[in-house]
Amino acid sequence: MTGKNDNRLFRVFVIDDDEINNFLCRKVLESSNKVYEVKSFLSSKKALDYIKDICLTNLEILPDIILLDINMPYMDGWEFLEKFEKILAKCNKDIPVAMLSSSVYQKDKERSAKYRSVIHYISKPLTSEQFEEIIYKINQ
Amino acid sequence: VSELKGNIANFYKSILYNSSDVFAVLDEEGIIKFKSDSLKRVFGYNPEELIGREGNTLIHPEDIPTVGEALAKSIEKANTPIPFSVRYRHKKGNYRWVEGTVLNALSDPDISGFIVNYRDVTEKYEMIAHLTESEKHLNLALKGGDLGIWDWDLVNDKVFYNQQWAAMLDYTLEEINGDPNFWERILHPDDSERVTSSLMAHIKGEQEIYEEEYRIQTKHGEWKWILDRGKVFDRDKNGKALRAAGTHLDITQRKLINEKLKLKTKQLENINADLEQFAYIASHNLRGSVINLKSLLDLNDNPNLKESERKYVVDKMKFSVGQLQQTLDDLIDIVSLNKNVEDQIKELQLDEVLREVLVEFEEPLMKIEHNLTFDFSKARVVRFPESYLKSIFQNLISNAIKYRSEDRVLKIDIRSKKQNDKINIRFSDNGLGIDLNKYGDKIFKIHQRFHEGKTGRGLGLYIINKQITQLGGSIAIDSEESKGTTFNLLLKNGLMR
Repeated sequence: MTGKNDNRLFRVFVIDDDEINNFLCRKVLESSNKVYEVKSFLSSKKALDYIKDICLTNLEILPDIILLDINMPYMDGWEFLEKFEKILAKCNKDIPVAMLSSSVYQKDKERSAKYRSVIHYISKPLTSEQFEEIIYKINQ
Repeated sequence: VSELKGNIANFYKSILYNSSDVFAVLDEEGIIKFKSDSLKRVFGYNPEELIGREGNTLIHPEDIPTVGEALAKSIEKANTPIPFSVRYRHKKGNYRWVEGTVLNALSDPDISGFIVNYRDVTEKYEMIAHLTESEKHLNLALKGGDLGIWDWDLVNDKVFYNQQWAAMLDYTLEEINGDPNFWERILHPDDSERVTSSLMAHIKGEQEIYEEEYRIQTKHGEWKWILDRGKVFDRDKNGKALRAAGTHLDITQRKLINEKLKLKTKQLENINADLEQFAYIASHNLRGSVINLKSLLDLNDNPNLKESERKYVVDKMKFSVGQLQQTLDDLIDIVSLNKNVEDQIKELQLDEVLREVLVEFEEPLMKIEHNLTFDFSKARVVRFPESYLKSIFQNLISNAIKYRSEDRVLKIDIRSKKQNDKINIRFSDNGLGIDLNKYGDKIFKIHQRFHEGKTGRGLGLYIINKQITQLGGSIAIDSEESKGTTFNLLLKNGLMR
């Protein structure tokens, strides 16, 4: 179930400096029978620039969900979240974020809950069951 | 005398009776011929009781030789009073201290004997004895308490020190007396201003008490920690200090123990922080690699996997194993940081260690245009663990190369100087620089990487910061984006012994 319109392409952004994770996420989503468009970014800065850009030009292709890693060089997941939420406030949009981290640190989990856009926290690896859960949360 | 009224004999009798001195005359044999009536009042005897007896009859047996000596001197020197002091038995049976003189008047026809006069000085003697005893006790207390005393006469700008004050610093009193600036001269230069201004503030009355801890140099050039407490105890009516005094206590041992405790605490904190970091890396990096590996293995087992993808999956499995290996190596580096490196401290020639490290960088440096300069002329030697110093140079050089700017020829400059008891090493480059406003608080933390598109392990600065601070030193960074970075290292030169 992907919400209001089953036929609409469900867009997923995966942001992680770990290329393998991005590949694995794509495989998990491909293996489900839903239609997803997956776009992955190896740097949070590039993802942010892209989102900023389409916020101004093409709101249609904004993602429906973002899977976000925490530990990344240069701009980590926290910094991304802060800037990302500001950008979205400007273009009056809501995009849910699910943290996807290899950290099992409770502190990271608690911290992520403080961001209004974060709806879920997943310890890697991503499974199709977990993704279903995220979709369920979005549709609530 | 002629102006006196009344009987002249009664006049003298009255004086002799009422005097607090006793007068006596002994003949040439030392036999008592006369005693004044004051004897009754002062020592309880009637003169008649003693006349005809030997002069030393009532003298304390131990003091009889003293009397003999005084008489002998008197025989040698006629008409000169010879002083003596002896114990004399009171009629009540107790001995009293007496002071007196004996005068040889053998040639005087009216006397033809020795004139002795003496008086009871027991109270004075007891007071002196009491004072001597008190002083002895005070000195014992000062000595036992290791207290030195100073006593400053501000009017004449003279300072009196006691024996212990000097002995504490391996001096004798003779070596320091007469030098009014002695104390100021041997104060540690780093403490001098603080201590003298605190003392002056108290002298001027701006500060209630004077109490400072500071270092002071002994005769042999060693530094001792002193707790100095003093107070002005005499001021004139305008409040101007006239006299101040205080004590010195040697607290070197206490300071050393504190120093050790601080170091131990620091080490424990480091170990604790490392354990936390360890847990974090273990949970994050190790787990990340293992999860990837497991997922890749699952994918590889999937018969529907396309051949092109299978090749990718196998490649990434190899990559993940490499990552695991790297993370384990990093962990081993961190864990080995807190071994007892104090034992490995030795004297190192900075240029020798740097040259050794540079050999490892021959190859990467050959590939890039660069200009590396160093100058250790102001401080050539440091007491530090060799492995640590090498690691510091390695990490800084490796960073300078990795984060160089492609827009200019790489410049690295390394120089050293002495900074009090520490050694300062300044390491600067003209590389990419780091935005300190953004990353200032993260610079020396583990697994931080500040450059997009650069694959650092995020460990170098973390490790050298640990290596330096663990031994009581510090590291500071100054950097500007696209200008370069300067590290100022302050290495503790060995441990305080």
